Amino acid sequence: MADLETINKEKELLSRAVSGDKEAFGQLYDFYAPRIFRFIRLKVGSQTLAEDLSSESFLRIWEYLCEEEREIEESFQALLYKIARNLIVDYYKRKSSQEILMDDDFKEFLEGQLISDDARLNEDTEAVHRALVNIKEEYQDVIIWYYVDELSVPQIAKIMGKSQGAVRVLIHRGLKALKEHLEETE
Amino acid sequence: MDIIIRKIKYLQRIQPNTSWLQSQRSFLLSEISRSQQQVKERKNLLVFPLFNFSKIFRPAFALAFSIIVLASSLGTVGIISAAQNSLPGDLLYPIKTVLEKTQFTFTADQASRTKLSIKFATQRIDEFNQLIDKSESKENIQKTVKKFTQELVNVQTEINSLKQKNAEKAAEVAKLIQAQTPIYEDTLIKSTEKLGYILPGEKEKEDLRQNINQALEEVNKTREITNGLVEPAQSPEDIEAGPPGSESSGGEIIVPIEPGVVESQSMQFENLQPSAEEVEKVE
Repeated sequence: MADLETINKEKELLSRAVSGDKEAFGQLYDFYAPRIFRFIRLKVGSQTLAEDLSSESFLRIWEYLCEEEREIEESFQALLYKIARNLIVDYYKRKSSQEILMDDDFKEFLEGQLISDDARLNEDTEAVHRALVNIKEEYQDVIIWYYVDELSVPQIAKIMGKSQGAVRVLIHRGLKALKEHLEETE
Repeated sequence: MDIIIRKIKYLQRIQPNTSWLQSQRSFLLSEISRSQQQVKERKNLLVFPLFNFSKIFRPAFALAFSIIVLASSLGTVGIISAAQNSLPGDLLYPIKTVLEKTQFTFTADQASRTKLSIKFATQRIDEFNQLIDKSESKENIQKTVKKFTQELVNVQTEINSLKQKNAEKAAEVAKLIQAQTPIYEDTLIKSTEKLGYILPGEKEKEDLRQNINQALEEVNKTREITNGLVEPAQSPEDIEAGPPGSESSGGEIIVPIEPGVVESQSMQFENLQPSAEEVEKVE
């Protein structure tokens, strides 16, 4: 995904979108919507909420791009993930932990959505998700971006505003924390 | 580790519902068209600088009026008590700050002045913590963190003056400060997490992050000063292990902070230097 062709295409779509081309924005949506949904879905308990926050992320980024005298130096991807992440942070600020726990329907989502014949696979997916939501927020982010969304370390560093070295450390520590949680539950 | 990575990759199968994706696309593009249309209409509209009567019916005016009526029906004691719990941006907040200044001006004893400045710093950090949770306007949050930094500078000045006059008493008060600094630090670090990522051009948020970092620097300076004052026989771990404000002498003056603040892990000061092993493994 990080190849030059994709980057150039994204830049072109972004500049068209900034000048008001909604179809260009539609193409960016087609490419990023499944990823953003997955990123949010893995971090919030409820399906409805994940859908709402995904839509909100795109509306917010459109508003952001349309603000006057805005010079876009950052990639669309980095902006979108930051906005999605901030929306999740805002959501958790408003909700009590009790409400968040009550919302959790990930198991039902897996059963309904994945339609896998392999019961073991679904169990493993659920277990890894359970472990993921129990580790530090920053670790969750880097694990999803690096292993699930397959972003490169420089791309993650851009989103997080950290050095590449710091991101590598976070990935390593995140993986270690995830392993510990998985072993605890097994 | 390979097994775990394989298991993480299972999460790639998570996909949104295709019909939802399509309906959202249409919704999004129609919203965009609507907003573009609104912008055009606004540009075409000639706006005359007429007096807007609707201003006087704004909720802010109604609220201010109700507060005046309410305040007049309450006694002075009621107002003062309400002011104590007010937050920056509230109507009664200026009363709170005036009361604090008056209290400080009429306190002559150096030890009491130092304790008062710790109390005010703790109050500011408590207000800051409440504001950041409420997603209040960044301006008020920024003002509060700046005031907190200022209060900390006052703490440093007061404790230094106390040290000149009575070193023994200064050591005693320094212990009180040492009990508070981890709370200040944790609250500030946790707040940066709550702030989320800063988008390019979000100047207010960026300024706020800088102010928080400045406050953290002052917390460190305060810690260094107090460490130098407390007798070396008592290790800092012993002091920090105790509950905040648990010291008996003058402990009643410290405003307790919300529980849970201390739980957060240090992000700012976390060691993020990669070890050779860590770098190698990720690469």
